[in-house]
Amino acid sequence: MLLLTLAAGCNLSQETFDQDVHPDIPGIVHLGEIDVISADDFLDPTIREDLINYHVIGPPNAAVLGGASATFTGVNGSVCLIADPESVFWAESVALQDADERYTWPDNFEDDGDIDLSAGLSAYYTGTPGLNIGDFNATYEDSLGVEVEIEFNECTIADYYGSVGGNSGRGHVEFCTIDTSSHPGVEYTIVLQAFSIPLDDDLLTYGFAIVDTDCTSLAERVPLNECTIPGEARTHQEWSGQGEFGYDRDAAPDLDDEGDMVLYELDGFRTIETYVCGAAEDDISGDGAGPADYCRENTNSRWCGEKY
Amino acid sequence: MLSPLLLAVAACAYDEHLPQVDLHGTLVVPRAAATRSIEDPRTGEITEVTDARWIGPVYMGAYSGVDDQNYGYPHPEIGPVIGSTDGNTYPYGGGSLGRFDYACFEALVCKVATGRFYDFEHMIEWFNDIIDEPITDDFGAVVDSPDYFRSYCYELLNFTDDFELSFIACPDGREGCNGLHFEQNDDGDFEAEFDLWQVNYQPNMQIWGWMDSPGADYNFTTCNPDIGQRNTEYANDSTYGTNYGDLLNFPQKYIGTGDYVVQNPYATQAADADAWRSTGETVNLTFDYKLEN
Repeated sequence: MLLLTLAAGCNLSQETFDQDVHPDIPGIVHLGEIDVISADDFLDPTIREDLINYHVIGPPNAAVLGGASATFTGVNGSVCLIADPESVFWAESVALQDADERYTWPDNFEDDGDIDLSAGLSAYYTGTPGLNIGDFNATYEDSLGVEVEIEFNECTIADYYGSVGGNSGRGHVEFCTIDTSSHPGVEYTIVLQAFSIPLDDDLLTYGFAIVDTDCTSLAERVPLNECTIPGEARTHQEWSGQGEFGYDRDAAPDLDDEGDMVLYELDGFRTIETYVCGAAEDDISGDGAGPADYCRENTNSRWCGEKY
Repeated sequence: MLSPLLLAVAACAYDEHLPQVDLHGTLVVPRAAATRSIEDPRTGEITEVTDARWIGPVYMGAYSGVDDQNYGYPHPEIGPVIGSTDGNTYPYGGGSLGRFDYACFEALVCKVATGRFYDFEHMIEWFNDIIDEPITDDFGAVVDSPDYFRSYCYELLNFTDDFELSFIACPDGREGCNGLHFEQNDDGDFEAEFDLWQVNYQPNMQIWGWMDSPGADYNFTTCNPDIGQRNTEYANDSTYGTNYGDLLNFPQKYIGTGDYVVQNPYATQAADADAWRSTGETVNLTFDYKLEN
């Protein structure tokens, strides 16, 4: 009897650690065809945000890869894919004296997500748009009949040792160059795999853009960092103070006239981001509203306790 | 008492029938590949120097096939071209005869391969006197003393004997030394024995390779000076440099003018790895195709 009791206790299911599926926001989405933006347009700060695609991914069903897929048409050259998942703040400066205050904001770990990029010719993509997330793996058979598993993913990112296969870390912008010059006019598929979804609202928002130049050239004109795609931290509801993190998690998102989901900027994020991305604190928080917004969400922050 | 011993001895004969084989063979590099004309900048006199130290690292791999359709010279077949990256050759295995080794001074990064130099004196003679690319130390002073060279290496690397330095082929003296890779044969060409360990055997696989010839400054295209161990001893700040990691997968990235490739690769005939082992065959390669421009 005791043995039976013990055996019954061995429930190895890990589902309890999975985030619950959102009733209205799917964990696997297909964004359709994405326009390639000209570098000049992307560099114009007055229109950049209008050109960036802001979207949201919910938790997928247990034990299934989640994320978004999209397509774009190859141009006669290279394109730069840029994705910035919410949200990450900056807490790099720990000096007690002469600290750069812009870098002393503490991070709210629970609003950070992670997206891993991959991309290649649609012909090699193994996933089904909107139904499951695939990859670009295939089998190559050489002239002696030996089979080799190969990857047609062209979005390669260098790791710490300079080898391919790296990814940017949690919350950080991720980018890669795809040389489409051999296949102009041919459809490519991009996969934005949701590697981790923030705990605060169980939703991963992100900004994403395709620019018609290689990332190295683009980076010479504008730094590719957390400030390149502004305001990526969003959620499906305006902050209301309800629930554990100030949002009603399972509430249906608002829809605009065209039926598209309306995303609201995460409370206080824009203030901090603007500040860290170069604006003087007085320019954005003269009335104290910005940091106060931030601290309202981060009540356990020591920094907030000291200043606001 | 006897039976456990017999069992133990019998167990030593167990054949695992591994699909990998160790290939042993002989390669020949033509005399021309080890010959250069050198002009004395002081007198203008031109001297022809034939020396195995002109022979850079030799790379060999086992491939599904070799043809000259893709690059205009004999080259392994390649897989699909993915994006802007040339096709991978997907070798079954391979190795090299000579690898780049850090010879203690930054001035020698990517210039010293194993199996080419008897000792410190042999290196100083080559760089300082023959090819006029003097070895300099961290202060810019010319290194012309074997003893200083040795003591600097021991200090930097915490070594206590020459045998710990891979780029010294004859730590016990030149007499009877068999550490140099190449010997000149009766035809005047240079021969060496080689081993390619644990190659995944395929019937009719092609053993092919190339020799990286040094450039004008005795530099080699197969060596990356920016990778490898970092030298931060005292005021030093440089990397040791070492071979690129994808030489056998993407040979075309590194093969250039002056390099010698195998024109007629060796094809294995045995049906499988066991059959190959039973033949005891050796691989013979000749690096007889010189790339011109």
